[in-house]
Amino acid sequence: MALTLSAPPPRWLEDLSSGPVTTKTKQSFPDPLGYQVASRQQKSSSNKTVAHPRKQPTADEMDTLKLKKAWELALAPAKQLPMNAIGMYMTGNSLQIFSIMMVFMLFKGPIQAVLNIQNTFQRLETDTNRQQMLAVKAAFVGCNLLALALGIWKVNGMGLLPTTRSDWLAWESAREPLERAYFVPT
Amino acid sequence: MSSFGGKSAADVQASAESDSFGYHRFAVCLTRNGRLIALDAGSSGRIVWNVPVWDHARDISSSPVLKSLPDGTVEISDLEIDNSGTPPLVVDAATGEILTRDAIRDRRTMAEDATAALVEKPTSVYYTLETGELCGKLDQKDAPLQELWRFSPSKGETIVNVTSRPSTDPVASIGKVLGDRRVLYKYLNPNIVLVTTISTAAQTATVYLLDGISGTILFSNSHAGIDTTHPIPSTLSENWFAYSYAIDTASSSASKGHQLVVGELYESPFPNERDSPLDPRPRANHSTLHSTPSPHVISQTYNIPEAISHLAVTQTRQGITSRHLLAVLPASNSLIEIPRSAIDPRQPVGRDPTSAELAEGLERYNPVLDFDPRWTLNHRREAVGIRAVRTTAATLESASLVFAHGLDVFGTRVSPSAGFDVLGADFSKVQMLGTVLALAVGTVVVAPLVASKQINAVWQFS
Repeated sequence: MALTLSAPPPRWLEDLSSGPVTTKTKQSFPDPLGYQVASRQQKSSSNKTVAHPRKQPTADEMDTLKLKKAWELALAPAKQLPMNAIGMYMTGNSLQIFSIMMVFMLFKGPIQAVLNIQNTFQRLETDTNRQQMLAVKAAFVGCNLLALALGIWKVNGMGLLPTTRSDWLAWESAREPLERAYFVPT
Repeated sequence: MSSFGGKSAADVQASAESDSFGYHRFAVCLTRNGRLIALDAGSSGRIVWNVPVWDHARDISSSPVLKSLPDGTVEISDLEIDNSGTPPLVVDAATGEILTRDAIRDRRTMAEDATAALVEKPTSVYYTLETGELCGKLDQKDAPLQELWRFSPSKGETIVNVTSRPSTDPVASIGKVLGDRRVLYKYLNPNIVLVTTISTAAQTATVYLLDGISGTILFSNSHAGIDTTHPIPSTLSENWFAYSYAIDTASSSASKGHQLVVGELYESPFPNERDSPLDPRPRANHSTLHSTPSPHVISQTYNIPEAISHLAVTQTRQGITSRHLLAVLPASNSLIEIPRSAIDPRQPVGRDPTSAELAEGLERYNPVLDFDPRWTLNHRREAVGIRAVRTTAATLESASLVFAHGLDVFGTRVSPSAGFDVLGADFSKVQMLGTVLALAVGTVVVAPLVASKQINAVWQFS
């Protein structure tokens, strides 16, 4: 329903929507490209109350803009990877408090980001670009998985993953012979 | 002539305090004067009971055998008191009273009822030394013993010593973890026999490692220039063996003095491999009668400063604690405990250890093994004329009880891995209790404040 006001709109609302008022001075400088003098228009029955200084982009262009922004958001974790890699290299392979904290951050960040994926892309998602959004979300999850892989590789370097035979030795059993030999001293 | 007997669980009056660490084991000794004496290992060798077994000192031609039975009794057999076929004498281990036949029968039936669900006894092979040869016989039900194998030493050699693994030799880990996290699997065969033979004419000593079931020779080693009048003590435990001999001073060999040889048995020379690559057997329980793979033996020799007359290995209840070698040195009347790290056969020879080997605790091989004075167990006391060393496990995993007897009787308690399962003496229980109490009080005081703050936060205008 269109908003109708019984009284004329307040002054501050008009000032808000209108651009700066230009006084016709002498021919000082020409207007910059794309600058349009504010023209007061009557409210139309559309949702927009006043016209904006610039042309309102269409729904398609909005979608494209939102998609571009979404792609930027999706690839942001990948840009963090070199910094994380250098940080990991600096903390070394021994079990110190700093390296434990670093590894913990490396694990917590991607997992939290993937769990909050809906929140992140909520304001950029519209009905029309849902299909492309799936690709963007997949790329986001992929970048976070890369960061997680870096964390796992670091944990392996610290020797905490049970990848070697000695880690599973407790589950192996010795072979028992079926007979027993006893010495009988004479 | 002694044996360790466990205290029977029914009689706790023997020890004043509860023995949760299992230190109060009785060493039951039979003396030449005919007295059976029980010494309490946990109370500094206090004599618990002292009963006469025969009236006066007599020369016993055969050496009696003492056995401690699981029903809390000690059985003395081969005791030819009256030169007649006397049945074995059975004594209650806690009180020392000689049990009558009815009492024995009652106890045995009670013990059997208590342990009704026994594991089926595996097929047994008994091997004995007869006519200078080692002969293994299979025990068959309702049939005489059938001879399975016979081991005779080479021409001119005589068998002087037969050693086997202790009857209870628990193994905690079936492989040795190397510094780079690979595993060298141990050759764990409970039926191995270490046979020592000497040849007085050729002045040689040979050591054979046999499999007790099939009689196969798994390993043999020969030493020349030996002084055969010296004893050659040997011991076998888990997957390693140790023996010691003296080099004849008149021999032409370059090394002189006394030497200690330590060897370890592994399934394969390569880590992470079970059995040799040429013998891919399925890993089920097997019988060595069918196939006997030979172990990979790694051994090293050390020059020791003085002669060793007896060797023993510490024992613990679950085998987690490292095993240390106990040696009796008659020249200095002492009993020493040699740590395994000093005599590890995997020490690198001729080079410094790599970082992986350092992580395992290996140091560079030094052919001379000096007996560290701190290894001596009897400190400033002298233990003269020790004839045998017995070790037994306490209930506490990190402790092992040692009992040496001969002319002198010496007992002690050793912790080869330094008491890892006991709270240290400097642990402040008062401080711990104080911290816990302070935290509890703090929690109780602060909890209502936090709850009221959380409730207020809900009522805030956001």
